[in-house]
Amino acid sequence: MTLTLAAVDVDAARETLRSEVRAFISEAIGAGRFVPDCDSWLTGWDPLFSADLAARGWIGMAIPRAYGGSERGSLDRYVVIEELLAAGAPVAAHWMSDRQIAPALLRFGTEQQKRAYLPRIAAAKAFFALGMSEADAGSDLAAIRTKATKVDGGWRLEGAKLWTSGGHHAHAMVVLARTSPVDPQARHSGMSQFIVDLPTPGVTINPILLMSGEHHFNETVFEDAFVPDDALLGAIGDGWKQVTAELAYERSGPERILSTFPLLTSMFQRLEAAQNAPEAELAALGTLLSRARSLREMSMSIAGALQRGEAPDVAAAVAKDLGTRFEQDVVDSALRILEGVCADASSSNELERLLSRAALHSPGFTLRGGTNEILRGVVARGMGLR
Amino acid sequence: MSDHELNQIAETVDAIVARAASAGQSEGAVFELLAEAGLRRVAVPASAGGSAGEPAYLPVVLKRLGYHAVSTGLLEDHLAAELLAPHLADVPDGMMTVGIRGDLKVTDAGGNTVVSGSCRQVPWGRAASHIVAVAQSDAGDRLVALPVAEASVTEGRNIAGEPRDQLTFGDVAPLAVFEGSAAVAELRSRLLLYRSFAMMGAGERALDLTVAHVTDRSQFGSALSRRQVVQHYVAEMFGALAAARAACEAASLALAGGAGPSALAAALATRIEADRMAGTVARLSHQLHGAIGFTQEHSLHFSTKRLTAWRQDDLAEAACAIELARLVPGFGGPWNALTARRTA
Repeated sequence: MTLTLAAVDVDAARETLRSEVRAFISEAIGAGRFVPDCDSWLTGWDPLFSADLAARGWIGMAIPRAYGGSERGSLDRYVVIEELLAAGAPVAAHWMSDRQIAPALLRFGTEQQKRAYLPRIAAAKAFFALGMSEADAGSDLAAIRTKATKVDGGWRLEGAKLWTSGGHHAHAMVVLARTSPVDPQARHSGMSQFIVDLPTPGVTINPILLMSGEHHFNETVFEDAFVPDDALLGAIGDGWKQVTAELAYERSGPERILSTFPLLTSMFQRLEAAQNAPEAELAALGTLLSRARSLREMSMSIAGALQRGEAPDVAAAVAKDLGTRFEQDVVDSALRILEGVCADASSSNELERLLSRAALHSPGFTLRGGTNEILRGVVARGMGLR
Repeated sequence: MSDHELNQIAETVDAIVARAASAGQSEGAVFELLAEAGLRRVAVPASAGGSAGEPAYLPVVLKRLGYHAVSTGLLEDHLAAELLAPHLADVPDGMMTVGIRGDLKVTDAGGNTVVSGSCRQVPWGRAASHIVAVAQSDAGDRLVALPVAEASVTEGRNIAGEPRDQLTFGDVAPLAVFEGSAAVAELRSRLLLYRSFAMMGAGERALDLTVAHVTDRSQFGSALSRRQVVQHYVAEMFGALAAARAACEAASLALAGGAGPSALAAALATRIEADRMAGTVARLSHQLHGAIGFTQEHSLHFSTKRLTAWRQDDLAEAACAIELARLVPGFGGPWNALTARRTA
C-alpha cells in the first residue's frame, strides 16, 4: 500500500486571511492580551480571547451561516488555527467545541440541538468538554462502564469519566455511555452519546492535577444524573461509529505538530542572537524544521482530502504518530543542546519559561487522542498486517 | 497531465527494466532502451534532445528506477540537459553528469576563460561526455559546463557499486559559464530533490519486500506480521516514507514556482527527510528480514545499499540541515520559513 495524497497549497488564495490573523496576534501580544505558551490548546483557557476570535468569525468557520458560523470552510479554518497555535495563543476554551463538537452536531445532531448549540459555539458562548476515557477504559474505549438507563422522559447516567480536560469550566459535556450491556461478539455496539449541560444535578467534577501541578484534567462523576430524551446525540447504539467518524479530523490537525512550536521559535531566536552558532545546534534545528515542514504538508494534504469527502484514516494515524513524536523531539533537542538554560516556569527568560511548560507537558503529546501504539496498529491494519 | 499518463510512464519503465533483466542485459542497455522510449530526457525541451514532457514525468521515472535498483545515470543526464537547455543552442547528445563537490575554479587567462581543479564523487564521471559543475570565481560560485574528455579520471565506486569518479581539469576551456549565482542554486536544489525521488523508489521497494517477508515468514507457529512489535516497525517504515513523500510533493511545487530561497529551503528539507527515511527503512527492513536479508542471494541489499550510498551523494544530511537553519533568519523566523509562498 502506498499512501499518496495530493499536496494541498493551503496558502494560495488565503494570504489575506493569514495576514489578518497575524496582525491580530501581533496586536494581542503587544497589548499584553496573552503571553505565547506551549501546548496552549490545552492550557490557554481564556474566554475573552475566544470571544475576540469569535467576533472576527474565526470560531465555527466550518459551521453554516444558518447556524451562526462563518461558513468559510475547513481550509480557511486550518490557516487560522495553525497561526494561533504557532504563536502559542490561548485557544483552549473553544478548542473542543470548534474542532470536534460542532462537526459532530452538524453530522448527528437534531435540528433542535443544532439551533441550541451551534450559534453559541460560534459565538464562543458554549464551551464543551469530552467524556470518553474511564478508569478501566483508556486505549480500550469499548471497555467503558458508564451506563445510561432509559427512564420516563430521558436517561439516568451512572459512572465516572476521566481526563475530562476543561470540564471544570465547560458549559456542556458530550458523554459516551453504554445503553446496552457488552456483547462479546460486538464490543463496539451498544454505546451512545449524550449532551450533558453543566451544571446538572448528580454530576460532580473533581480536579486531577497534572504532574506540573496545573488543573486541566478532571474526574467527572455521574450519580443518577438525569438527562432528557433530547440530550441523545445521534442514534442509540451508534456511539462508537459517531466517536470514530471524526477521528481523522482530531488526529491530523496542526495541534498534533505545533504544541511545542513556540519553543522552537524561541530556540531559533537564541541561535540568531548568538555569535558563531555551533554547527551541531544549527544541524539540530534545521532537522526539526525540515520535519515540521513535511508534517505540515501531510497535515494539509489530509485536510484537503477531508474537504473532498475522503476518509484518510490511515494517513491521519501516521500524521499524529509522527507529529506528536516531533513535538516531543523539540523538547528533547532543547534539553540536549541549550547549555546554560534551566527550565523554569517563573523565569523572566522566555526560553526557560517555554521549556518548562513543554517539558512538563511532553509525555501527554503521544498519549492523548489515541496513543501512538494504537495509531501504529491502525497503520498496520491499513497495510493488511492485522 | 493525468494519473493515467503517469501510470503509463511507470509501466513503461517497469517493462523496460523487466525486458533488460530477462535478456540479461546491462544497466547501460536500460539507459538506451529508456532513451528509445523517450524517457531519457523526458522533461527536457526537444531542442536539447528531450521529449518535452511534463515536469511531473521525471519523478515517476526516477522513482521507478530507484524501485528496481537500476543504476543508469539518467538523473544526472536529465538535470545537466535541463540546465543547459535555456543557455546553449547545441546541448550535447552524449550522456552528461553533474558535480557539486570539489574545488573547481574559473579564471581568466589572458582573455580566455579557463577552469581548473577537481570535481569529486561524480556519478558516472567516466562515462559522461560533459559535466555541469559548480566552480568558484572571483564573483562567487558559478555553474560551468566542461568536456569530460579534457579531464583526467580517477575511478571510484559507492557501496552499491555505482561509479563515483574524480574528474581533474587543468586550464580547460568550458563549453559554457553561467552568469550569476541563480543557476548554482537551481542545480543544487534540483539535485537534492531528484536524488530524494530515487531514494523514495528504493525505500518503497524495501518496504514492499519487508511486508511480503513478515507476512510469509513464520516463527513460533505464526506469521511474523502477527507480532505487535513487527507491526510497529513496519508502521514506522511506512511513516518515514509518508513524511519524505509529503516533502517531495511540496518541494516539486516549490521548484516549479522558480528557483529562489523558498525552493532551496524546500529542497534541503526534502533531502533531510529522504536521508532520515533511508536510515530508518534500511535499518528496519534488515532487522525484520533477519539473516536472509543480509545475504547476497536475497534481493533486499540492492535497495538498502542504494539507500545507504545515496545518503552520501551531493550533500550530507547534517550539511543540509545547517544550511536550512542558516536560511531561517532570511525568512524572518521558522514559522515564516514554513509558511512562505511556494511560488515567488
